[in-house]
Amino acid sequence: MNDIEDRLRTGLHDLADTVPPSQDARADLEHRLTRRGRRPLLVAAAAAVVVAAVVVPVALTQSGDPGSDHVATPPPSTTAPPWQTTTSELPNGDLTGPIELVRFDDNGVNVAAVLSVTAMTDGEHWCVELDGPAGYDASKNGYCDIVPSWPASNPPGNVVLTHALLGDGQTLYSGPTPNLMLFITSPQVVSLEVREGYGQPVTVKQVAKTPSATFYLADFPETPAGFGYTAKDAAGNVLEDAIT
Amino acid sequence: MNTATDHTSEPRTGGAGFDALFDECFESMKRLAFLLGADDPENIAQEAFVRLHDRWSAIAEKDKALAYLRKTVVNLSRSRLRHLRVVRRAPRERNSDAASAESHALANRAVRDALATLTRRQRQVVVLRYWLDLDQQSIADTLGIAVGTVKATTNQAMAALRTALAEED
Repeated sequence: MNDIEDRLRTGLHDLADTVPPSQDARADLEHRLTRRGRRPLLVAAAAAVVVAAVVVPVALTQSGDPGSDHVATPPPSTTAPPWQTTTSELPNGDLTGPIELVRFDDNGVNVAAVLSVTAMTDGEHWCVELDGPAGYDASKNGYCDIVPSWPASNPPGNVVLTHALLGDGQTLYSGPTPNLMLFITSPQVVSLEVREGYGQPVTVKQVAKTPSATFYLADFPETPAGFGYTAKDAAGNVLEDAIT
Repeated sequence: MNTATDHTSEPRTGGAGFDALFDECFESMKRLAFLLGADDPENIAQEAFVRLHDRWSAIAEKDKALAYLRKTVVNLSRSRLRHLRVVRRAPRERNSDAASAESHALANRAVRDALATLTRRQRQVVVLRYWLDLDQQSIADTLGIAVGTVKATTNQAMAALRTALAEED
C-alpha cells in the first residue's frame, strides 16, 4: 500500500467515525414498516379524500383564467382543501393522505401512485408508493424521503426540492410516469411556476400541504429535461429561481 | 454499532436474519451514505433497509442482501446529490442542509476536501475501494459498470487525490 492509499484509507475511516450512532434506528425502521403494512387499509378508508383531491384541483383551475393552472397557488383560505388534514384526524402522526396522484397502466395492471406524509421524531417523512390490486408488487418504484429543515426566510434559503414522481429518482424522464415530477417546497412558498427546458409553462397543481411543506405535481407535456422553476412567497418575491 | 434490545416487540421487522443484518450493518450503511456525500445518511440507510425488507424473501442470503444494500445506498445518495446540484444552480445560492451533515467530517479536513474535488463516480469508487475494501468486481457490480471502468476511474481518482492532497500540504 502506498502513502496516498494509506492516507486515504485512514482518512475515510476517520471521517466515517465522526458519524454518531443512531439512538432509535430500530424503532424508526419498525415505524416505517408498520406504516407500509397498513397502507392498503388507509387507501380504502380515505377513498373519499382521494376523490376530492383529484376533483377539487381541477375545479380550481377551471374557475380561473385559462393560464392559471401553470402557476400553483393556494386555494381560498376560508375553506380548507380536503387533502389538507390535521394531525388529530389521522392516526400515528399521519399528516396527510394517502393521496392518489395519478393512475397508470403497469403492464396491464391499473396502479395508483399515492403520496402520504407522516410526522416522526426527526421531521416529516413523505412517501410515494404504488397501490394496485391484490398480488401486485407495490415495492417497485416506491420511495420515501424526509422534509428538510428549511433555512431562514431572510435571506431566502433553499426552498424547493424536486423528484421524478416514479422510477429512477435521479434520472429525469424515467419510470412509468416520465412526464410527472413532484415538487416539495417550504411553507413559505405560495406560488410555484414550472417551465419546460425551452420556457413553456407546465401545468402544476398543489396536491398536499403539511406544517413543514407543500407538495406540487407538475405534468410536463414533452419532457422534464432542462426544466426550470420559480418559487415565490405571499408577497410575490422570488425565493428561488432555477434552471436545471 | 446500534443494537436492539427489545426483540419481542411488534411488529417484527422481518425475522431473525433481517434483524441481525440490520443490527450489524445499519451504521455502516449510514456511514457509507455519509462518505458518498449524502446530506441525510440516516434517512438513506433506513430507506435502504425498508426496500431490502420488501425483497427479503427473494434476497435472504447475507451476501446478496449486503450487495443489495450497498447498491441501494449508492443510488439513493446519488439522488440526493443530484438535487443539491440543482439547488446550487439557482441564482440565489445559499448554504444547504448538507452543511450540517458535513460538519461531522471536520476530523480529517484534508481528505474531506480532496474527496470533494472528485467526480461523483470517482468518489463512489474510492469509498467502496478504500473504506468498504471491496474488490474491483464487487465495485463494478455495485455501480453497474464494467471492471475496466472501475480500474480507469480508480486511477483517475487517485491522480486527482494526489494533486488535491499535495495542494493541501
